[in-house]
Amino acid sequence: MNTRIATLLFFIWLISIPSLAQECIELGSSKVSVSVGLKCGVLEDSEATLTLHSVQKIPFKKTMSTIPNSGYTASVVWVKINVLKKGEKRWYLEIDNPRLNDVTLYVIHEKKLVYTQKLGDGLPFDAYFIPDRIPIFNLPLVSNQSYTLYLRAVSTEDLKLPLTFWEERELYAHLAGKNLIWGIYFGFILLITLYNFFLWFVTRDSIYGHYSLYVLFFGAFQFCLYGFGYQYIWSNSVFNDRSHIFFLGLSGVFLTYFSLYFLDPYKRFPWLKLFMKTAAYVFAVGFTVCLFWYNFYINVVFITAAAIMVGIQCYSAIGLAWAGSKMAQLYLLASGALSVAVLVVGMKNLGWIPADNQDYYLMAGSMFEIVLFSLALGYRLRSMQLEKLRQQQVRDEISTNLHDDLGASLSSLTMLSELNRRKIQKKDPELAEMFGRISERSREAMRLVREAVWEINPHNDTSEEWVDRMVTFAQDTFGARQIEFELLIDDSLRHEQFPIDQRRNFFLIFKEAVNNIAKHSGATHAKVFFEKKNGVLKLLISDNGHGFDIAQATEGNGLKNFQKRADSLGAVLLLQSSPQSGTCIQLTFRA
Amino acid sequence: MIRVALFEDIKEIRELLSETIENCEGLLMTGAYANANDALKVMKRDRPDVVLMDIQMSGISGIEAVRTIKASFPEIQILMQTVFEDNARIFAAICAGASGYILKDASPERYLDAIIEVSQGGAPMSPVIARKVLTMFQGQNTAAPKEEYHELSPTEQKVLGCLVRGLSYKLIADECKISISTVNFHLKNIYRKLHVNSATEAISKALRQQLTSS
Repeated sequence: MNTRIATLLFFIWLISIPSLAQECIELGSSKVSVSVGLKCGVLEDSEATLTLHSVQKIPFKKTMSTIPNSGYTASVVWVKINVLKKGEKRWYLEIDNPRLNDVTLYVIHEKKLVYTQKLGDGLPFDAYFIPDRIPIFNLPLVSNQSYTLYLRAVSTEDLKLPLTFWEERELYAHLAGKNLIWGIYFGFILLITLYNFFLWFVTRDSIYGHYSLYVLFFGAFQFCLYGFGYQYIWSNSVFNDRSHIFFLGLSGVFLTYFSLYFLDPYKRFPWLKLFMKTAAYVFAVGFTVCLFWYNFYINVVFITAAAIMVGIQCYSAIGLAWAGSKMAQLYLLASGALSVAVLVVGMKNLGWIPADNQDYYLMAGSMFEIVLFSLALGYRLRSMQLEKLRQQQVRDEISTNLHDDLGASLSSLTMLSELNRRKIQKKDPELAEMFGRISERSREAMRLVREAVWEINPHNDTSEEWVDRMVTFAQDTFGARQIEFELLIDDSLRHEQFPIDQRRNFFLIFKEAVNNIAKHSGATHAKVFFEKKNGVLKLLISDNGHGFDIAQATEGNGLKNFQKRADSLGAVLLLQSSPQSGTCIQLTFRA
Repeated sequence: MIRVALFEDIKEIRELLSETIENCEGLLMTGAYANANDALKVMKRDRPDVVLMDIQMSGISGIEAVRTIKASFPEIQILMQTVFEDNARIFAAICAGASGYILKDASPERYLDAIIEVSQGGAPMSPVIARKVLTMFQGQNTAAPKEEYHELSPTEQKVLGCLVRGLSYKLIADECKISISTVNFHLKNIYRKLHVNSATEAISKALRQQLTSS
């Protein structure tokens, strides 16, 4: 319905003249349910001073919408219904709004009060005659008599009164059907929550965590809003009135974070990051305050704030979607579904459009949204995989180019200067030395290139290559100094998977130890022992050199670096050194 | 006199390296070529004892060339030249029939030594390559029919095991209680058996699979 028409109708309703005669509802034996619809009168008592006695003397206004709706208000609302009971069936009056705090039914027969009953979530749930989250009045009416029913209702939430008379058997069928739908919905929410939680648990990608919590809290919000919290968990405790705001706020915070991660709109809208985060914090503070201080218009504030947030998120998503981001387009579609539902429910609650079936709008809207978001997340995962693949290819390409072109050039440089050195040695020893220096330098550059290629080549991500690299390094370094060496490396280590940074630290320690032996120890023999036992990795490097004074060496930088690397690896470093037995380094850690 | 043929695609290096080899006593250059496309013709004409083969060249690859040369001239020893210590490729070349490898940035003296070592049967194996060879022998005796397969003798296995540990010939000789020249002899046999085994259908298939998966 058009908003303008809705507003117009709203004003017509405000100024409408009191009805002269009110229609009578017949509860006959052929009927199973009767919707009150327009057949009731409404009176809004903003001072909350009227009593049952005084209200009977005042004319009621004829309701303009099928569901009397006062939106969010501090007023007391009175409803008057004329009923003629026929047949022997038992009848009940359902008010499909679990958010009423206090609603009292007065049954008047021939100007005398014959029956009264009080319901609403201000009372403990045990006081309910029919154990359901919504107020259902028992009507002990006598056949072929007419009654006037007065309802007096108060709520800190939306004060609307969807009224239906139910015959007993039909009432139970109706309630069972409704609860089945809600059961399916909450099952869906739980499933999505758990699924995304497990995704987060496995991938540790925080977007799934945020999404999972968002869905969970949004589910909790509806759980509270539609009275399940009252029915099953906290009855009429203080938390009851404010719980939906609390959970809506929480879900808003996580939705904001989810959106920020998902859309990543910082590049296009740099101001957004700050704004959205601030808004999330304001939300957080807002709902915390609501736990202590709550009034009916908080709802209006929250709906407005939520609408603004959704608007901004949609705005940024529209921008990104316009720029061609497929993820933003899906996001827009998803949040669009919810926004429409929220908008409809908001207008229903404010009384701008007829208020029937509001719960199903939110339910359907959020289900669409959640399904579309899941699709969008799947799309995101796919594009991330593609991106990873692309990066892998780039790495491959870089390392191949480095390997083939730069490596080949450097090795020819080395070879050329080596061959020239040899050729010219006898004629011009000075020039020969220059050539020697060039080849030394280019060999060094070659070594750096080799390391770099090794680091970026994706094939070397396996630890098999990694162990080989240690072996090759030891062979090169010890071989160059004519140091005899022996490597005892546990074969099972080749199947070990290390995080890359841990592997790098470990390799650097190994390199430094081997270099120290080659350069400083004066050893003729070195031993490397590397094994894994009971989940503990143990590296032992020893030589038969002249050793060093550990106390003195601790002052220097070499050992400090050693210790620092060992610390960042979470390893225990043991050093032993003496002129008689050489040096022994032991490193133990858990991978 | 050791007759040497050289395959190398960079012109300056080819020329300087041939000059160096020519000037070395006991070595004779029979020819230096930019690619191995006509390797068989060259072998027939030059009859070298040792071939220095670049692992990566334009035209057919060094590894492919090794396979063709070894198929027709099993007595020719081939030394691979490589820019990096690229273990997978070196191992593939050795399986194809090469008897050793040398890094291109090695000194000319080292180059000449390696040529002489290879002409005697095989250059020393690095621990990483030795390990690959050892696993290959261990893993593939089931893949080939018995009559085609040449198993390692216990001493050869022991020598290979010592090479995996990085021991020098001297230490290997000490540990196996044999002389250094016997170590050389065993190494030569290991290379020979590896080449023969790699040439059999079943193993070359398994090997190809292993290479493509690594």
